[in-house]
Amino acid sequence: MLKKIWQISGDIKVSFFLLISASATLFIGSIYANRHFSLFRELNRVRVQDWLSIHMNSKPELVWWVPVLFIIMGFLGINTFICAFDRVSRLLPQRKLMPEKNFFYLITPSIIHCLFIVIMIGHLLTFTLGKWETSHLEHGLKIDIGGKRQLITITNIKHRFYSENSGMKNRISQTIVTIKDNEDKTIDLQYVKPVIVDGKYLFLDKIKKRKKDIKQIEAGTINTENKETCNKAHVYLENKKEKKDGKLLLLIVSDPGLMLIITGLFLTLCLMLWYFLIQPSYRKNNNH
Amino acid sequence: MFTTGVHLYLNAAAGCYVLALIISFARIRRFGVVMLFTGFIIHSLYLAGRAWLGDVFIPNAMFEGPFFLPWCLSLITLESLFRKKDNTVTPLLSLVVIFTLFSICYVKGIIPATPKKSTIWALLFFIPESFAHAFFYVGGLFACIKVLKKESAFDYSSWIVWGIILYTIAQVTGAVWCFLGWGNTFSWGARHLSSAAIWTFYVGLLHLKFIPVWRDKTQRLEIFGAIFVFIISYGHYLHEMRFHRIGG
Repeated sequence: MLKKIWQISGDIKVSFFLLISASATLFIGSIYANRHFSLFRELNRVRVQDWLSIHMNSKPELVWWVPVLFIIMGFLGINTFICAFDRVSRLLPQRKLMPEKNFFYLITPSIIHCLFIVIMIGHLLTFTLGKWETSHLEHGLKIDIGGKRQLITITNIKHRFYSENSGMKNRISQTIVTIKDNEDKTIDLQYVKPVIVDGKYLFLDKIKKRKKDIKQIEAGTINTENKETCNKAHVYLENKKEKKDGKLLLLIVSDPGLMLIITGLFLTLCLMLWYFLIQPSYRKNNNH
Repeated sequence: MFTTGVHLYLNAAAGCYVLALIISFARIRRFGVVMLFTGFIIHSLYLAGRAWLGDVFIPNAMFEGPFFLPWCLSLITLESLFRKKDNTVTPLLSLVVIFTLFSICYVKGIIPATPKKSTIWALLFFIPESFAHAFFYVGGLFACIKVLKKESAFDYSSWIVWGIILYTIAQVTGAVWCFLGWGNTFSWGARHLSSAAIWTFYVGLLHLKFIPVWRDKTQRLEIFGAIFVFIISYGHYLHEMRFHRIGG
């Protein structure tokens, strides 16, 4: 009985079915995320279990696909593990019967499968244990980020703009925020250049909302769904005529899954390139 | 740059592609190669010119999907000609012409780049993504021809493998860019979710070759895959037409 379950769970037909199901669920999810941008954007800043506990009760018709996706990916992880385990156990006894390069070529798909599991575990850790905190950034402000060098002070904020003579005038090209920690060490923080302080990643971010909208959001009277899009070009436009209030934010991230995800992704990519591009040419040359 | 904002270059490139397609029916190889190559050069100049649409150099504008995808297809067609796979040229040129004509109708300005998009990681995401889409379309078209004509010359599987490799590169660089810019390796937004949907679909397709009884379904799924990529990517491009743009 157990053997039968093991065989079915590791069947490649099941892999195919699960991958196509995951694709369909992700596609359906993308439609919901497009129509309810603000609702799903929250998931980037809170743990999935906290987000689901709120929205599964209030908006089940919009968020049902998130737990479905987690279940499918969970089954896919089990299926991948069994597939890889079976293949490796079949290949290992043949290790000394073939040249090392051939053995490595045969075992590469199983290594990629193992790395895929590592990446999925990384994502699970990020979604369930990650921590994202935001704080407003102002000159002279002291922010507690926790850890040894916990208290940081914002000593300088400098915006760089595109040329006044260009079509990009009044638009921010980069912002440099100078931070001093409690050991008097100075760090420059810029967009897309996060810094690590005591194992936490510090990011620079910016939001812009109309003052009227902020008041309504604070009062809980505005429906934030369908109002926003992913286009944030207006956030970095500093125009005196603008009726919107732009605010700099400090994003503090603790991501326990990050290293697993990034390492797994890069190793997978290297092995795929070797398996599909480099190795076939090597085999072709050897055959000749 | 002299081609900046001069859409005549894009129209001229499209004209060259259309001529190359007509010539490909008449099978006058040399003239067809000249037309295609001329179109490719003019198209390249037009793309380079897009980088200065905001009066400052912003490379992202060169690699905007609707304009960059037909360039990728044109490069793939040139490569096919170079390898003397002449029977594949007419279908490939049809794709080039269709997507170039779409780019002529598309809004020409650029979405102003934010500091989070002005990074090499954005380019390392957009370039392989467009190339992967091009390979998926070619694979889908060749699978379609194989289903209709039963011609074995149209091998579509190698195109799909190339597409998957490039799409995986885009997933990796996209994850890095997403983390550096927004603090998440996976963003719960429509763009990222649909991108993951395409990747999982094609990885599923890659596994089909190990299921002998289902192998005959690959061609039809390949055609479906190309339609799936088209719906998702052009859905986004049409959505982005509403965004505020400058230049062009």
